[in-house]
Amino acid sequence: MLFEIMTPEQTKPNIIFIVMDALRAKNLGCYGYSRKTSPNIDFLSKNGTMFTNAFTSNNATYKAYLSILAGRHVLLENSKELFFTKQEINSFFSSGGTFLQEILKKQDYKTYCLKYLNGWQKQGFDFYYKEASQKTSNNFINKLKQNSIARIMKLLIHLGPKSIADYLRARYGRNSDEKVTKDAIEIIEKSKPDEKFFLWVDFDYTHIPYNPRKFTNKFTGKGDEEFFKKIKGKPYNTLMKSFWKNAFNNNETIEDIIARYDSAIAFDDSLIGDILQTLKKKKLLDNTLIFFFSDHGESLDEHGIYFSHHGLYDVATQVPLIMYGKSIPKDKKITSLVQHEDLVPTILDLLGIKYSPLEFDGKSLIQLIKNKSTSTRELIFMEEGDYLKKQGIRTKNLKYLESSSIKDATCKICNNTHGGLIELYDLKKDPKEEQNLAKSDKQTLIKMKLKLESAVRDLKLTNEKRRIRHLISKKAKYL
Amino acid sequence: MVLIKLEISESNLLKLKDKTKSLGFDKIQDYLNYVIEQSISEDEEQEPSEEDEEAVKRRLKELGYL
Repeated sequence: MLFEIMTPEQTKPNIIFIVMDALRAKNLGCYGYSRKTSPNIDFLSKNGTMFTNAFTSNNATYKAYLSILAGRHVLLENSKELFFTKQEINSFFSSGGTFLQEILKKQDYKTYCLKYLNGWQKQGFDFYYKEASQKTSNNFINKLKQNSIARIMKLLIHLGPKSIADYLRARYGRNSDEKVTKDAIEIIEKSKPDEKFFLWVDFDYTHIPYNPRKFTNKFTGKGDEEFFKKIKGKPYNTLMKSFWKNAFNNNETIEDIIARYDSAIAFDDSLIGDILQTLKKKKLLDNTLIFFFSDHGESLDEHGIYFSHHGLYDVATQVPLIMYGKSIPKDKKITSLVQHEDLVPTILDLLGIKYSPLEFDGKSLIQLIKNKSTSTRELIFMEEGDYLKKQGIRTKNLKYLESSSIKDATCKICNNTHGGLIELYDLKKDPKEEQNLAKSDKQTLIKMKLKLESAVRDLKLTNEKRRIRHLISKKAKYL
Repeated sequence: MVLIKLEISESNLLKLKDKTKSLGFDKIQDYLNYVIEQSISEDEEQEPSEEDEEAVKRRLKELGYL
């Protein structure tokens, strides 16, 4: 791949990604939420540009991460996996896929990811968190012992009784968001004026079990129906029930748990405040581009999907997206449809790094930011392939979702098809996506299915063009 | 094919020569045609064909939605 710098003499800004796992946009103050969950994120929004219609194209974390860092959408094949299959990831690399951190590294950026990474995710990062199993010695017996202990611990942390799980999480669990913040602050404080960094700060208290170590009860719920009583007798997957029992107290209501989710947002927001203070103290705030977003949203109680992000409904696919920096307009709201894949080309444009648009499925948002355009795309393509296998498209006013069989449409957690095999929603009249029009509005149904097929065809065709170009360029190297 | 005259700066011509070579194209003309095709096909919005529409209707009917 060819990337050239346009103005090498220009000072490049640092880049920080602040990512909150499973954070839905609508639970933030700047997106209109009634609870004061996010004063620091609101500050970024007030002093930066906020996108009110930003979406993920996949609601599973590591699949969303590839889209964020590669600017591409890798189409899912036939398996139901939380991670990419070998075949899927090969289609990315065999077409010359490169990650943002690799491009920035070539521009002399130091690259940090304050998250646990495995496999392809590590590519291009100078620093990231390693799992215990990645740190072990080469001794086979020791490795086996450590891996077995780690697996038992993981099982207890995710599926054990809540009291034991809470203890283990605190003592042996993954790094806390406080540790992530401490490390981020250290990286910022130790940065030298002539060095540039790309720093991914990853917070996950907003992911189930929504268990911030402080602020646990900042907000309180008002409901009176206990969650476990509400789901009693319903065909939810046994594993998921254990997962919930591990995360929630017996007498908690849905509103209590939502209050806990909001408290987790508020706590992580306070940590963002600490990072912003450090940037200010170090006089780096003016020369840093900050991108705040989440990997996907979260369904709290919508569509009978409790505290999970499966289903391609807006609650799970809409993400907050805020950009902050010297070159970013202040207090600006952009309503156009945008998606994770748009981040890389936008950043490259902001840094003046040239690229071929064929590299990315995403479109640069620079024209929107500079008021030179009002739209970059007509629709968002989205798919999921773990608990459900669905594909869909979302325009500003319509949503179309489909599975190719009842088996694919049947949710492994909830044991039902949610909206059925095919779903069609008029988002203007029905923003909660509750009235499926698939059987009543046939004209729109045909139109939307044609659009979906065309979107899939375009993605495949573009990737094939890339693959051929990559082959030609590889061949040229050896001539 | 139509023959047209195109004025470009010397620096761009050098860059074009480099790209043509590094990407394995035989001639600058081939590389330029490739770039133009890419750029135009990205902007064109293709209308679905009648065949596509018929196939979609058939599938929706099979699934019980039409």
